[in-house]
Amino acid sequence: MNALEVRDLTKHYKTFTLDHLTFDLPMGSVLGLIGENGAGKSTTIKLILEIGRKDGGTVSVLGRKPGERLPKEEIGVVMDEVGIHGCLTAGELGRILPGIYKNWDRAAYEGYLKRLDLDPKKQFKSYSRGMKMKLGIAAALSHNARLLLLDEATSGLDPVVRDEVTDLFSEFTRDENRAVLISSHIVSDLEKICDYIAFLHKGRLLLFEEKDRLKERYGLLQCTGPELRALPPQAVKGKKITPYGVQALVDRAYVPAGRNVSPVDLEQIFIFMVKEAD
Amino acid sequence: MLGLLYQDLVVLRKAFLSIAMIILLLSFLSAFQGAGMLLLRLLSFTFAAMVPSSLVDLEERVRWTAYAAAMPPTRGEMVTEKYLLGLLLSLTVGAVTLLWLLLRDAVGEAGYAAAQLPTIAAGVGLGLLLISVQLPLTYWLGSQKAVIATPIVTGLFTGGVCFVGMSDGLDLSVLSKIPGFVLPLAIAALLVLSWRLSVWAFRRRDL
Repeated sequence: MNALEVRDLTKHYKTFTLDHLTFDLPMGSVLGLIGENGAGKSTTIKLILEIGRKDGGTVSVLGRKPGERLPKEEIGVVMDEVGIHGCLTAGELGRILPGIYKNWDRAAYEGYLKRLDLDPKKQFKSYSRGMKMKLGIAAALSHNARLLLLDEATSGLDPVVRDEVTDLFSEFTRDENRAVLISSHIVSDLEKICDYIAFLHKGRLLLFEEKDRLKERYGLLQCTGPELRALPPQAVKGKKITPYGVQALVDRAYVPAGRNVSPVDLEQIFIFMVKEAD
Repeated sequence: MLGLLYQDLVVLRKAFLSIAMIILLLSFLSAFQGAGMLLLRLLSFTFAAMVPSSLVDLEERVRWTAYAAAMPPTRGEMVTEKYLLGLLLSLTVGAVTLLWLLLRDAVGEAGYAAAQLPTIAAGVGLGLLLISVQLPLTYWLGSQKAVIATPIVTGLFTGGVCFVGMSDGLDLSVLSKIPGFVLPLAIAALLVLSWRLSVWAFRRRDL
């Protein structure tokens, strides 16, 4: 079963269009939505959550048919800005949320507060950005959600906190009945935990593929201009011309045998594809 | 929805304490003051009526609105909770005012509280009218634009009532013949209409 099925999701703004987005998120997996600022990541998550009104397309969440009421009880959410009142403490939040989520797990919440080193008596406004994000994550993980939607949940965090947080997400998906959609422009975070990758650029989906397959499929080729032109057009997914030659992102399937294609990381794939799309 | 209401009460206790103290003071003064009593009393209800839309404004600024919309309560429930809060606050101010009046009765002037009951009812009614005007605008336009629109609409509403009241050509004696239960019913109907408008407007907004 898919945790998420997004088909032709479309939203028009005056200066931006989210253009017919289509992807799936299988249960038990993590999908990383990668895109530069303004690519449409937050819009996508808001449309899935019905916080914004879509102009077209369908979204099916946790097996519900499009149009059926969204199972928000089963969705944990962390927004790019955690919307908690500054005057509230983590302890007070732990008394408020049971009135909102039927499946609130008080012991789990208190466990996360301890584990993430969050003082339950400190006001939210006095937390650092990292602590605010950790509190949002603790709340999202404490009501037995089956789907986590995380919008830039790791942005602005220091490396140690990012590591803690990504470990939490990995733990969450050990249960095969759970799934995570995480958006970020920090590709390295997503490379660590994601099973699937979607590249979003200016509202369009450039690519949606299994991470391992992606790294198997693409590689970097150092060559000269004439050598590049000799390749079949479908082999070249992006290129960078330097004074020393050409560096090209290539689809290995179309590159003649014997050519030395080196491995490529997600960030390089993303950058090459975005530049090619522009 | 109870969680939302509980949160609002916690936020009110922590962030709106100064307004609560002002309302308490106004209501106290209105019970013990002779001249200007009615104005102070109505002012205390006016302050209380402004709290729900102020909370909506605060929630939009701290991004709670979008966060809450991702939670199980529906948008209709989010709006309903603010109306419940407004009703609760208006009735609380009414109860507190009555307590002050009973205190005044106890220290000397017996029967004063009973005589003042219509002014408390008028205060609660005024509060609910203001809520009925403010909240649909806030949910429709967003709190920032509503800050400008609300005084204009409230002013037009009040001005219209004053204009009708002061018009020479109109015979308002007919109003005194209207049965006493009609006005509360009219306010309740307006409140329900306002609530429906707010729910409709809030459901259409991108957060």
